This record gives sequence, C-alpha cells and structure tokens, in this order.
Amino acid sequence: MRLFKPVILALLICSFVLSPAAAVSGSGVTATSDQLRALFVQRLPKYISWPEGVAPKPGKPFIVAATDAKSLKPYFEAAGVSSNFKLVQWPAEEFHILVLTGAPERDVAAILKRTAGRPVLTIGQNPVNLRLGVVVNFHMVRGKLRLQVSPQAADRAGLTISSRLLNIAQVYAGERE
Amino acid sequence: MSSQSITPLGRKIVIAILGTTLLALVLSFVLNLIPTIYAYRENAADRARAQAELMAASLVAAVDFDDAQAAQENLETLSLVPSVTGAAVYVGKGAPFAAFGVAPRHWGRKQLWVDSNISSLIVSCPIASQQPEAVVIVAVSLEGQWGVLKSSLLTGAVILCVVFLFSFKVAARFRRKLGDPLGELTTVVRSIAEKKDYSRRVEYVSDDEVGVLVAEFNAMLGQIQKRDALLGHHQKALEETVEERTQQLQLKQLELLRNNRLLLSEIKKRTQAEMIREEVERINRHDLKSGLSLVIGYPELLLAEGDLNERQTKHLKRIRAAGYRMLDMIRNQLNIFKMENGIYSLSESEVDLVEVVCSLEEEFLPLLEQGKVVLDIEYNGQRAQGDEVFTVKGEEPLMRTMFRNLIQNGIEASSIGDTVLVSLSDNGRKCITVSNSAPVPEEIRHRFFDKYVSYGKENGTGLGTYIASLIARTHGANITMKTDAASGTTMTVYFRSSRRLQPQI
Repeated sequence: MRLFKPVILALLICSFVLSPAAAVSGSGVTATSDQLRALFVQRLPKYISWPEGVAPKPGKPFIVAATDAKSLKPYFEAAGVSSNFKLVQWPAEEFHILVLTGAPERDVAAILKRTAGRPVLTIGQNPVNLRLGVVVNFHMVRGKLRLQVSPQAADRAGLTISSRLLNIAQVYAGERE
Repeated sequence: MSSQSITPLGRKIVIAILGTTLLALVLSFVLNLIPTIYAYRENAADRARAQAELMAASLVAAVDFDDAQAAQENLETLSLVPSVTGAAVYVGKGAPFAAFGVAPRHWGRKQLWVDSNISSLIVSCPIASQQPEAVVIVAVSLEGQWGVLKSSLLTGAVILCVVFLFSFKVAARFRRKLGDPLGELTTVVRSIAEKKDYSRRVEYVSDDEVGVLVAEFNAMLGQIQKRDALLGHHQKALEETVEERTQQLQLKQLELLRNNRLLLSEIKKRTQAEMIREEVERINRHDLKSGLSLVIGYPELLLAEGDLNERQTKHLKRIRAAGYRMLDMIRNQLNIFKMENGIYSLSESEVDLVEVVCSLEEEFLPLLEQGKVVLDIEYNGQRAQGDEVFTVKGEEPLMRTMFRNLIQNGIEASSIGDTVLVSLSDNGRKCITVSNSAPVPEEIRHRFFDKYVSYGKENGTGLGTYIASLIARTHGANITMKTDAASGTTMTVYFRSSRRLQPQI
C-alpha cells in the first residue's frame, strides 16, 4: 500500500509523456525520437525539389522507404488516409525518400552505393552518413533533433535544397583535408 | 459728430484680411495634417505587414523543424528596422516559441491582422508551416509620426510666418486703398462738425462705392453750404428786424413810462382834489346843518307857541318838513359814501312801511297838487286806511329816503291827472311796488339805477333811483324796474325773508 501512490504517479507521468498527442513539437512536450524523425521526414519534402518528372504527380503520395519502417509506421499511420506519404520497407523498387536510420554503417554505405545517382532524398542519423553520401542527416543538439545537409550529395542526386532549409540546417561541406 | 475715439476702418480691414487668411491657413494646415498622419500610419502598417509576411515566410522551416534558435536568429534580423520594437513567434497558446525585443502578446489571431493604437502597431501573420497555429507577431512603433507631426508643425509655422508677413503687406495695401479715403472723409466730417466750415471737400475720385460715397458727400456739402449761406442771410435780416423792433419797443417803453408818470401825476392831483372836495363838502355839510337848525328850529318854536291859524300852521309844517328833508339829504351824503364803499354799518329796527309811506304822502302833497297827480296806497290789493302794519327789518331814515326817491320819481314822471300807485303786499315775500303810467325813456332804461342818470328834468341830479337801489341792496333787498309804453313803469322792492345785510353794490 505504501508503494501504490508512487507507482500510480509514475504510470500517469509515463502515459502522459508517451501519449501521441504530445508529439506536437514546440508545445513543450517531449516526443520520441522515432516520432520526431517521422515528423521531420514528412516535413522535409517541402524544402526539396526533385528533378522534372521524378516527383510524385499531383494526388500521388511520396513513397518513403525505410530500413526500419516498423518503428516509423505508427507515426505515418497517425497522419491518416489523407497523408501525402506512403511508408514502405527497404528494399523497395520505387521510392522518393530513403530513411536509413537504425541501419549499420556498412549497410548504409552499401545502400547508398546502390542508390547513387538516383533522385532520392537520403536521410540518415549518424555523423558518418554525411561522409558516406546521405543528403540529410539527423543529429541531436542539446536534446533537440537538428538537421545536417550535404549540398554536394543533393547535387549528385539531382535534388535542389531550399535556402530556407539551408538557413536552419548545418551545411556539410565535405571532409576537411 | 462726437469726439470719441474711433477704431479706423483700415485697421479693421487689416484685421479681417489677416484673420481670414490665417484662419484659412491654420485650418488647411490642420486638415492637411490629418491625411499626412493617416498616410504615415497606413504606410507604416503596409511596411509592417510586408515585414511580417517576409518574416513568416523565413520562419517556416524553423517552425517546421522546431528550431527556436533559428527562429530567434530570423527574428533578430528585424533589428535592422528601427521602428520594430519587438517580435515573437507563437506556435500555440502559451509562451512564445521565439521572441525579439519586447515580445508582443499573442491575442489569438490566426490570419493576417493589423491592430493599432495611438503610438504602436501590431501585425499578426500566420506562418505557412505544418504547425497550424504558428504565427509571427511584429510590434512596430509609430513614434515617428510625432516627428512627422513636429516637422509639419515647424514647417507650418514657418509658412504661417511667411504668409502672415505677405498678408500683412497685402492687407496694408488694401487698407491704404480702402481706408485712406474713408479716413479723409472722417477727418473732413469731424472738421465740419467742429468748425461748421461747409466749404471743405474730400479729394478722392474713384469708380468704386467709396468714390460714389465721396462724390455724393461732396455734393451734399455743396447743398448744405448753399443753404447755410441762405440761412445766414435770413438770420442777418432777422437780426436787423429784431433790432428795429427792439428800438421801437424801447421807444414805446419810454412813452409808457412818460404816460405812467403823467398818470401818477393826475392821480395825485385827483387825490388832492378829492381831499379838497371832501373837505369842502364837510364844511358845507356843517354850514348847511347850522343853517338848517334855524329853518327847523323856528317852525318848531312857532308851532309850540301856538296862536296860529290853520293855514299858518300848515305852512310852518311844510317848512319844517322841507328842513328835515334837507337835513336827511345832508346826512345821507356821508351814508351814501359809506354804502358805496361797503363800510356802512346798518342799525336795524322794525320799520312800519305803511306809516312811512303815509307820512311821505303828506310830504308830497304840494308836489301832488302842483302836478295834479294822485297818490294811491294799497295794502295787499286793498286801499290802505292808514292803520295797517307792514313791518320790515331796516333803518327807518334810509327806508324813508328810498321810498321818497321812488315816489318822487314816479310823481315827477307822471302827467296831469295820472295816478302813482304804491302797493304793499305780503304773499310770503314782502314787496312794495311804485308804479306810474309813464314809461322810462328808451335812452336810460338800461342804466336806470346808475349814478347821475337823468333825462328831461330841469333840476334832476340823477341820484334818486341810484340812492334807492343803494339803500335796497344795503338792506339785502332787490330792486327792479319794468317799463313799457302800454303799462307804464313799475319799480319793485323785494325784501328777502333771510336777507343778507351786507351791502351789495
């Protein structure tokens, strides 16, 4: 009985912290890493321009291929049927965005080698990913998810990155000699 | 024209022009300030709106990726705009996502909205991010409008001064143009009012209303001058006439004074003559009375001694009666004078007029026989027997004198064979009439009882009826005379029951 109150309080705090409604950023409520990644993935296409004819046609969703689609799936599904995204598990044939989070560095390098030259927005979450050639890399700064962008990689993929995104992102200019 | 101080019309014109001009200028300036300030505020609002929209566009990524620092950095670019006092990004209710300067408060607007007050402007602009409630709010100071206002006021003041000076010059010109002729007109009018010099003229020729006024005024002055000259001429003639009349009046006055002196001299002489006459009469009365005492005394003595025949006795009585009559006449002279002057003091007693008239019949016997006239006496319409009594209040000698004069007048006016009737009647009011058949001559009817009125008598004095009327009025009785050719003459004495004894002359 003496432990009942602390347990109930802890459960209430956990339920509140882990609640999907608390995933809204900027509201002062902490979201999970997967939730934030899913959110950022959904927001990035607005700042990326695909080559002519590559981007989805009007009414068609962006196809997001993820190496760990399972962890992102709940948050894509939360967006509902009207969502402009379709999450698929890597490997996939046709996709516009490739999320490489959670994959080992060796697998990432292999995947990037396979997709090199294709107009695909590659997203990772490892500092070495930029060196390996991802376009956008997530990294944590004082507990917040921040972006790193590689204009060279985007250029190689034929993508154009919005200056507004570059304005808030850390630009990766390549390995220093 | 009064000499009170006046406010020159020129000054009023200047005040009117300057006042109107400055009022119009101030009004236009104030009215111009309103759109200036309004335009300033609108411009500031447009700029703030544009800045907010630009900021919202630049903040999309920062909001989308929850990068408050980036948002902060974006907001801080507003520091380049001095009028921006603060800005904030809200992504929901509560604390701002990022802020710059004095963070404006979020008031729930989700669309582009501009709110302003007197000195600040707040623009709310939605951020086109995935956050549906993300807005950027920019606060802009409008303090610059006071600078604009101050600058405009300064400029306006300078313009006002310049316009004032210019208007003053123009107004002074108008004042000289309009006010000087009126001032000259006023000076001339005042000079005319003080010196009455209608030869003055106002030297101003113009085709405006003032020119017409001056021309008419000069023409009016000409007419006044002409009439003034005419009036002066008439006045001179009138003064001459008055002087002439005054001289005539002075002559008349001198003549009047001379006449007054003559009149006073005559009055003095007359008074002296009256005094002499009075003295002579007094002496005469005394001398006559002395003589009459012998005329009356000796018949009395002879009658008292007796031994006289009837004829002698009769003659002596007649002499005695004539003496008494003369004595009465002398005495009455003084009484008449007193009655004429209203100073006679009546000594009243009961007087039997039957006895008086009967004694008078005896007295008039010689005269009756001489004229062959009959004297009849009636009492209340019946022939009197002599023992009747008809008394009235009065003084017996005066009564006797009155009826003596009336009866004597009737006898003397009668012709041979005529009858003089003395009638005494007492029908509530006692009266005595003496009538005869001869009418009073026409010439003396209207002044029958006046003094010294006589007609056709050789020795008439004209005093008989006068004395009778004097005595009657002294006794408060009325005496009248009625005469015509048919019924002759009737003299009536009415004794009033409540007679006034004061003489009525």
